[in-house]
Amino acid sequence: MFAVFSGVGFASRGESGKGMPFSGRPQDRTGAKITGQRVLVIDDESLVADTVADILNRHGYQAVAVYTGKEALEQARHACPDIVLCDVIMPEVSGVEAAIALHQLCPAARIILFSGQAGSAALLERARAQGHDFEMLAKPVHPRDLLHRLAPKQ
Amino acid sequence: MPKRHSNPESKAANKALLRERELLHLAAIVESSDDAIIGKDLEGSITSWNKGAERLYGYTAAEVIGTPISILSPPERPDEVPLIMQKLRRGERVDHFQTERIAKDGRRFPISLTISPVYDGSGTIIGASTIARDISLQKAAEEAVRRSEKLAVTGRLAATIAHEINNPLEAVTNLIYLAAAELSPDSPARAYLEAADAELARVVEIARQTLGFHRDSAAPCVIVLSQLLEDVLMLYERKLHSRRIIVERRYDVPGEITGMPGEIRQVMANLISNAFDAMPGGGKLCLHVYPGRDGDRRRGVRVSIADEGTGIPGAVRARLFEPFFTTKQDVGTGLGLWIARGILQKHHGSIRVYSSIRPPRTGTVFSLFFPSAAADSRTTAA
Repeated sequence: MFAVFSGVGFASRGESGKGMPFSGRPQDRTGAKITGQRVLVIDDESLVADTVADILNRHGYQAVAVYTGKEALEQARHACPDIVLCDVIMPEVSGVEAAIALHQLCPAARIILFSGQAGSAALLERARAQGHDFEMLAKPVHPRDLLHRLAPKQ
Repeated sequence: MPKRHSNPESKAANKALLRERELLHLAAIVESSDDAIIGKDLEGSITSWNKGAERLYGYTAAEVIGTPISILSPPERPDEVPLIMQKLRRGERVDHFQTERIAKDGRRFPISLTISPVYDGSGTIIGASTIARDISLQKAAEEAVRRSEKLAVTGRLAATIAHEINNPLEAVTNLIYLAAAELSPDSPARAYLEAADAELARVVEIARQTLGFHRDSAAPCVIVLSQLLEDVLMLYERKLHSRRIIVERRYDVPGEITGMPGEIRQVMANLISNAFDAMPGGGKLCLHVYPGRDGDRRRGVRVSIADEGTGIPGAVRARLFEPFFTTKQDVGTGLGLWIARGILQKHHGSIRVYSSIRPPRTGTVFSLFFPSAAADSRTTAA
């Protein structure tokens, strides 16, 4: 039902950006020049992964959604992402383990752990203790805040 | 000791003497026992009544011997004693039967009974013996355990809900965003979706505050009390309007302290909620954050939460911070203020209540003190 959302580009609609909540960056091709960063979105909840990837794609990123840590590593082996958005709690390979593996594979990638659980702070501390400088984003995050967080720091 | 014990008559006399001593010994044990030990005949009339029974029920032996044992039973359980007697006549024992009894002064208390049939020399049942124990304390302890378990379960439930709810909330937030982006800015549907987005943001905030509080970060961090109070008020926005409660804020300082945000939020939510309940017809809720000192002249931040309700009478005020003490019939555990005091103590602060029940100026003020971060060397700032 939501196959249409998976990573395909949208026709631009020329938003006016008049200060309404959904006014984002221009969605035409110049957006791709501004960012164009590769984002790997990993979440076992396919709806979350797909919608996040779609939102990012609308705003000039090149986002791909995968649903397991395994798939994420396969993608990363093809081409290293610039940013990784990784859910913490996942079956089989846990989010943190996947993140650590990705970090080793792609050391230049910015890795953000995405979590629906308030107690994930402890996991972050442990990863940091192992020398992995991951960031944390608490679910649910509004697209506006996500974009703000991902924007390149000038 | 008799010298001639080979004589069968003196043997019988010795036996009788020993038997008598044995009976007196047993009687003394019964009499001095702390437990209430009551004897009754097959008709249910009391035949013996030890000191323990006098202490438990308040009746002296002289007052009750010969009267029916049913005088001790609650009137709404008329069948209890006859049923017990039936069992006993069949030679069955009643073991640790929990019920209620009524003392001489009319006081009702929970009790545990063990009732055994009594036989004569030929094996015929002639009555019953009851050992009764007051189990009020035991019952209270069981209730306390049940309540704390309930709290623990609620906490675990909240954790589960918080976890489960965040993914769908994320998905719906994203879907609304994407749907709205498909529409032109002046389409009415877009306006609806924007309204939906705002309402959803409220749901997210409520979930964050009410379900996330139990999972504080591991270390204390900086809290701005005025901001925290505003967060809590936001939760009660609708209720404020419908109850016609006006909030007066006096934030003399932002109120920066160090502590566990979830716990402080819990305290404030509890106090603000109590203030609402105190003003069912509406009124003014006054929140004041100001610098101050405690009894030991330590510097810190004071927060006062004041309502214009009917006030709390002195007798109730004295017990307000007791665990399980509540004046609300069905709602609440009676633990809120006890927990609040514990949290304040944990933060090296204090909480006090002041109240007036005399019109025209009735109301209650809860006054909290938090030592300021600099003064508190035990915790580390984030």
